[in-house]
Amino acid sequence: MTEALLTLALPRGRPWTALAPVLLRAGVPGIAAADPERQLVTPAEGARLIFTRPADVVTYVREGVADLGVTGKDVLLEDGAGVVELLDLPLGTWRMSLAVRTADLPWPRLLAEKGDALRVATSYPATAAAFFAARGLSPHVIRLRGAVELAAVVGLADCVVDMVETGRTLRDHGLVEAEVLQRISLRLIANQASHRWKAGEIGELVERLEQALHQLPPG
Amino acid sequence: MEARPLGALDAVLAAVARRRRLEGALRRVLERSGYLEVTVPLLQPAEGTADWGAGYRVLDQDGRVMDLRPDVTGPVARLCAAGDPDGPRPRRLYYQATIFRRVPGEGPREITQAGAERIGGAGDAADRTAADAEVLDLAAECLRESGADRFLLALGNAAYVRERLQSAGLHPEAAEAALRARDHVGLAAAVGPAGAAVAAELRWRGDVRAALAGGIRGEGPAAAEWRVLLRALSAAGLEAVVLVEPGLLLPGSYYTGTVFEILVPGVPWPVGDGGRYDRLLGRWGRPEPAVGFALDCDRLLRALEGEAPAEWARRAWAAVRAPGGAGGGRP
Repeated sequence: MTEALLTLALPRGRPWTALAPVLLRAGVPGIAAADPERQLVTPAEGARLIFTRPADVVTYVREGVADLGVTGKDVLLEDGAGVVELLDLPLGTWRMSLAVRTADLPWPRLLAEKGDALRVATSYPATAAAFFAARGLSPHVIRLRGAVELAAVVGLADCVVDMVETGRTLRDHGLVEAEVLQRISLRLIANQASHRWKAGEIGELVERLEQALHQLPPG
Repeated sequence: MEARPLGALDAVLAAVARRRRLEGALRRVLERSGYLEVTVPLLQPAEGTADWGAGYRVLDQDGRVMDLRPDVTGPVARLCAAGDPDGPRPRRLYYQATIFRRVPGEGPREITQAGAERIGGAGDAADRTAADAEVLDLAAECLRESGADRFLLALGNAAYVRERLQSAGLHPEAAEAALRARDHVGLAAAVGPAGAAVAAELRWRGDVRAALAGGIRGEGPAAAEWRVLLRALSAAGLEAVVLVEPGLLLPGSYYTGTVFEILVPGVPWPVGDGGRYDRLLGRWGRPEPAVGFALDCDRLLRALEGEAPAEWARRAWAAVRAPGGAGGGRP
């Protein structure tokens, strides 16, 4: 919460690939020189960039170590309380989906047959539970850290709830996307206190990001 | 040996002294402003507690579900409505108490609060404005007396939010839920393209002058009343510490008008909040206007000392253990 400059917590990995061009076009300092896989902190003129796992970005922002952050809506659905969600960055074609084994019964019949006995593997237990709760169901939700397809392949679970981009990983494992829970995009988030103390700087950055998004080529 | 309970803090020696000094400072301000101290039971019937997430729920011996109080405003409102209906008004009451809440990202937390409630009065627009200004001024005085030289009052108005949404022909519920969650993306989705202008109004923020020069929109009663309050705050010398946030709503749905959060440099969360809750006393059969605020003393102490509470405790223990330290005993 140093007041002279803005600290941004940014996601490493695939989100960064989509995000970097927009941040660059919006004139965020330090982006061109940033190397998230090798340098965790990039100091720049008027800003400091912190790179971490998308799931941890929200923690750095909530605790005030970073003023702003960019992370996926998937992360915020699980653990997004206590930060300000400022801007949608609709980059990429991510979605939160439910997938079942291709060889199994069709999804509606599988669901009808299993009901609350359904076993759901996911890295997003709160999101998955809320999805079923909205249908009056409370199946057994099994929390995994990643590679949830495996759970369906080897029979730990009847279905998986996970992030899907092209659907190829699912197909490669003999799974089929049965339902899309929600489109998922990146979001700009702010710390509650920074949002006030640095209202001017943050407002200006939001405007520049909005302009940069408008200038993106369609698709 | 038992571990320290999650979300609770130990405090010894210097840390206790600082806490007592803060409590003393707050007590001085509140008492010289004519506020009387109250205490309320630690256990509250679960259905009677306010809309805050209670951190702990217990059963009594008769099987009744009780919450460890998640706030004091609810019990104080009950006390006035049910236990003191014919007492003098406005009632000016204050408390220093421990509450238990679920905090986003942290889980259950034990929080030391100091707060004030101004209950009753004429309840017309002039009375509301005077009472809101009194309570905001009191909060500012509490901060100054505590030693917080710099602070910010982020000021919103729940009635104004509803007025603007309805004036645009929008159903307010989804938009208000998004604002309570501080979700501007969700706000845009809730109001749709037709509500884009209102969403932009509610995302706007600025100082008192800018708010009076057009930041606060429309000629509705809530807008008019809010402008009167801002002029009163300027007259009270608070203009420099007020940030007008038309889209500010607080968790807990009982606020009906003015709402505010208190920010102090060095703490990444608000150190206090408050607002007007004109319908809460009605739950006990006696509607009365009311406005108040509460400070989170743990967070405020963190701001005043510039370090985390756990760090004071560590240093204090180190002082005990060091040769020639103040205590010299074992913990």
